Amino acid sequence: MDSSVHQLLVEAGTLLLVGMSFVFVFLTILIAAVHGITLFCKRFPEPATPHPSSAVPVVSQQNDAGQPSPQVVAAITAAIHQYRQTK
Amino acid sequence: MDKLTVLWQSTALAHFQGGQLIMMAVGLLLLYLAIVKKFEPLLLLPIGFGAILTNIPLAGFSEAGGILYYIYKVGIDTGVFPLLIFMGVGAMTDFGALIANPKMLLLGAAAQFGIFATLFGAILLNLVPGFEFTLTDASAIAIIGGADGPTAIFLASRLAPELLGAIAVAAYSYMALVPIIQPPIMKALTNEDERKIEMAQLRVVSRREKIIFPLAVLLLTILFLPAATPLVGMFCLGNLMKECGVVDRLSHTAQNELINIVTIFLGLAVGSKLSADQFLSVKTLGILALGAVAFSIGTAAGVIMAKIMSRFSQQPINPLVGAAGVSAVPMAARVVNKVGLEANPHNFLLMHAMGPNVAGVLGSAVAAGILLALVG
Repeated sequence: MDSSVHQLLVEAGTLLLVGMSFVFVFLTILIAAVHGITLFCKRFPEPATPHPSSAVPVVSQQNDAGQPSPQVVAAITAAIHQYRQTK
Repeated sequence: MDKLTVLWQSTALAHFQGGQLIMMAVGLLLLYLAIVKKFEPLLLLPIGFGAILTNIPLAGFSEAGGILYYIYKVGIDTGVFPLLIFMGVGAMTDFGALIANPKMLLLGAAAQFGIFATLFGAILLNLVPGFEFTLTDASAIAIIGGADGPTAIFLASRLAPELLGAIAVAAYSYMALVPIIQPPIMKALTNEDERKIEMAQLRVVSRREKIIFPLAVLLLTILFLPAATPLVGMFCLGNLMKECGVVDRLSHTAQNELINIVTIFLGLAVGSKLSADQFLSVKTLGILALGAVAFSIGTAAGVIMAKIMSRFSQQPINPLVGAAGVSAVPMAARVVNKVGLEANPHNFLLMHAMGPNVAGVLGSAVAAGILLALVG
């Protein structure tokens, strides 16, 4: 019994050393990899993509005089009216 | 009279055994902790209910033909459920803080000391009469120190299925107890001045770095530790879906609907393992005790590593962030932030603690892979 526990303890101790060293080595390599990725991304920056929203023409809601168009005024009036009715 | 005896025999009252009643009480306790105390309710609620169901006499939930039996067979025996959860966790994880400050990976590595030290402790426990843990049992128990539910369940299902119930309950209970277990250890190992240290603001990380990162992690795992690729691979898949920005629907499903569905079944399947004959043994007490030890050692190792690093680093490092190296995302990082604010009301450590926190997830997955490769 005691000798088997002793043997298991030795095995557990080995696992402790091997396991911890491997975790450290692995994550240290990962640190290097992250530095590599950062360098790579600095050297080859993302191409500036044209803003898609600027390509869409904005439909003007105003007439030439800077006043809202009659349709818009009518729609707003109707909406306000409806809102007050339901209240 | 005969009919009356038959009727009596078909009620549960005639068949209750003491162990089943105790386990139902344990199930109720888990429900209480979930509903009233809000301890990891998403998992403890289905686990508690599963524990009640599986201990109903005559119903046979966990025997061949019972629903919990099949849920366990399909989801945990195969290892599918914890891996799906891991994909969802990957889809919810933002590696930005880690990529901005990759040194934090060392803290995630140091906190895994809790796992391997507990492995040693579990074997030492064999000297106490009544305990007989094999090396595989000890490995499955030790992974509780990784503070990562799906990893613990995955490893336990591979290495020691008969201990799975106790291991899962211990892992989730201690994750819920992070705000109580960690602060005393953190305060004991640091002084007031160290806790006040403010850290430099993190740089902004580009989208391309975030896309390449999971691929790099996967590549390294493929090369050096194929045993960890089930866990790390699913994690990286989830993370890539989140960061690439072209499969928002999949990413959304992975981090919401899918993970929720799997969580229900995972909880029930774990609950089905809380049967009297498997749970009511002195081994369970040992597992609960070892789990707490694993957690505390992991926290302490993280803080000590952060102290060493702050001595050699040019940039200031607050040693408190080391405690977040045990995964328990994001609870451990929040605890770090809270303890930091107590010492210095202007010191917000949350983002700095997220780095070691997600590093801890990777670290415990790597540790699980090592245990699988060497012990399994």
